Amino acid sequence: MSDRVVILGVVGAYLLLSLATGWSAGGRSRDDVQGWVAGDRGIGLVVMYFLTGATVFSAFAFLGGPGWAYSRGVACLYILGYGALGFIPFWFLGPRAARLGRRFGYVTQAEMVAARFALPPLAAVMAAVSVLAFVPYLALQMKGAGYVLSAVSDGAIPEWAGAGFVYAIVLAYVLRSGVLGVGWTNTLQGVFMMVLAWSLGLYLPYKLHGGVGPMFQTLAETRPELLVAPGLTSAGDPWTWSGYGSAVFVSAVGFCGWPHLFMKAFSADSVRTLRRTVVLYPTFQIFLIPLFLIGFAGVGFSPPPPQSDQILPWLLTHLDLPGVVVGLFCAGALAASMSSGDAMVHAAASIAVRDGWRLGLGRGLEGAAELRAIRRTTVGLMVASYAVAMAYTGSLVTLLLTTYGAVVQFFPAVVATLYWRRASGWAVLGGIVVGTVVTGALVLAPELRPLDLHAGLYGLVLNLVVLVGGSLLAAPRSDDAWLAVAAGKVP
Amino acid sequence: MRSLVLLGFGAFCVALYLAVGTPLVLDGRVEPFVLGVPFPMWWTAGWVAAAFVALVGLHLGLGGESHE
Repeated sequence: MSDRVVILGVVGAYLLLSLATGWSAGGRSRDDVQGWVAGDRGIGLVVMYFLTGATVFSAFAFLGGPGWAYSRGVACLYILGYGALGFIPFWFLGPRAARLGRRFGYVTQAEMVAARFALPPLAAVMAAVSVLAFVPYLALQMKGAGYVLSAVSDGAIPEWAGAGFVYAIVLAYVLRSGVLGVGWTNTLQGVFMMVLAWSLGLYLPYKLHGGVGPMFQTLAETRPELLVAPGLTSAGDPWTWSGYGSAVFVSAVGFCGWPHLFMKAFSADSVRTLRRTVVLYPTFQIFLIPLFLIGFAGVGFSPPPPQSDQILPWLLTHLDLPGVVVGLFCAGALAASMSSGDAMVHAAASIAVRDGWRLGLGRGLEGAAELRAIRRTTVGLMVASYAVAMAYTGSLVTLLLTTYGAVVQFFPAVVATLYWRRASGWAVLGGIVVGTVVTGALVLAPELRPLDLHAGLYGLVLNLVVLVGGSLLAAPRSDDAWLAVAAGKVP
Repeated sequence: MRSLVLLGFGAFCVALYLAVGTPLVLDGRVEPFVLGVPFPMWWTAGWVAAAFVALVGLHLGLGGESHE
C-alpha cells in the first residue's frame, strides 16, 4: 500500500470519527435556540474544558506556533504569556454572565450587554464587528485545512477541494447538533491535538538533532539570536520589549472579549463548572510547548520551507516518515482547524441573527423561525468564508489583526456591563467605536503610532477614556436589580 | 480574608505580567540551560504552571462557586 493511500486512509478515518461524534451529540439537547446555541445550559466540566481550550487553539497555533519558533525564536513565548493571563478574568465575569443568562435567557455576549442598557444599536454594532472578525478568521482555518491536505497529498488534493470537503463535514455536524456538536468534537480533537503535539514535539528534535538538549545547544552556537528574549520580529530584527510586552497585554485583555469564547458562559451547567474550567485552563497552554520545539527543530533544515508557517508539514513531508505518522499529523492539523472553525461559525451565525437581525434591527423572530434563520445563516457564513479563503489575494493575517483589534475593544464594555453601576450604554457604544476605529487605523498605518506599542493598546486607552468619561457625564441609570442578579444576590 | 485573597491574587497577576512581558528578568538571558532547555522557556512555562497553582488558590480561598 502506498504512503499516500495510508495517509488519506488515516485522515479519512479521523474525519469520519469527527462527523460521527458531532452528529450523535445532536440528540442530547432540545431543538430550539436555547438548545442549539447554549446546549440547554447543561455542559459539564470535561467538555467545557476542551470546548474552551480547543476553540482557542486553532490552525494558527498548530501551524503558526512552530512557524514563530522557527523564524522568530523565543518571541513565540508571548503566546504562552498572554494565554496564562488571558482567561483569568473569566473566573469573575463568567459566573455573572451565566446567572444573567439563566434568569433572562441570554445566549450571546452582545445580547447581554445591550439588554443591560436597553440599547439595540449596541447589539447591532457588536454583532457587526463580531461577524466581520469571524469571517477572515474562519477563512484562515479553511486555508490551513486546504493547505495541509494539499501538502501531504503532493497536490493531488487541491486546496479548494480539501478545504471544501473538511468544512462540509464541519457544516453537517454544526447544523445538526449546534454547540453540543462543537463541544463533543472539540473534546475528541483536543485530546488528539495534545497527544500528537507531544509525540511530534519530542520525536522531531530527536530525529533531527539527537534530542531536545543537543538541539538547543546547536541553536545556541549557530543562531543564538533566536534564544535571546524577546526574540525577533517577522522581518528578522530584534523585537523591542515595548512591542513584545504590549502584545502580551493586549492579547491577554482581548482573550475574554472573543464572543465565541465568552458565550460559553451561557452553556455551562453551573458556576462551579465555569470556574473550574478557568482554573484548569493553564494546563491546556502547556500543549504549546512541544509545538515550539518542532519549530526550533526545523532551524537549519535543508531545503527550507517557502514560508515559516509551513515548517511542520514541510519537515514531515521531507523526512521520509511512515505514512501513518504523516497521516496522524495531518489529522491533528485538521483537528486544530476544525475545533476553532466550528465554534466560530456557530457563534457568528447565532450572533448575526440573535443580536444583529432580531435585536439590532428589531425584526421579529421567535422559536422555530429563529432557529431556522440561524441555521441558514450558518450556511451563508460558511460559504462567504470559503469564498474569502479561495478568492481573497491580500493578506488575511492583516485583515485578521484589524478585526482582532476590534474584538479586543469588547472587554472594557463587558466589564463595565457586569460590574459598574454608573456605566452608560452610549458611552460603552462610543468606546467600542472609537477603540475599533483607532486600532484599525493604526494596524493599517503603523507609521502613525507614536511609540512602538501594539495598535490595540492605543484603541483600548481611548476606549476607556470615552467609556469612563461618557458614563460620568451621563445621567445615572437604575440597573441595581439587574446587577443584583449578576452578583447572585437575587435568585 | 476575602480581600486578602483577592489582593494576593491581584499582586500575582501583576507579577506574572512583569515576569513574562517585561525585560525585568528575561532581558538578554539565555542561560542557564536546564535539561538542555534555555532559561526563557523554563521561566515562561514555569509562570504558566504558577498561574494554575494561583488559580487553585484563588478558587479555594474564595470558596469557589459561592464567591462574589
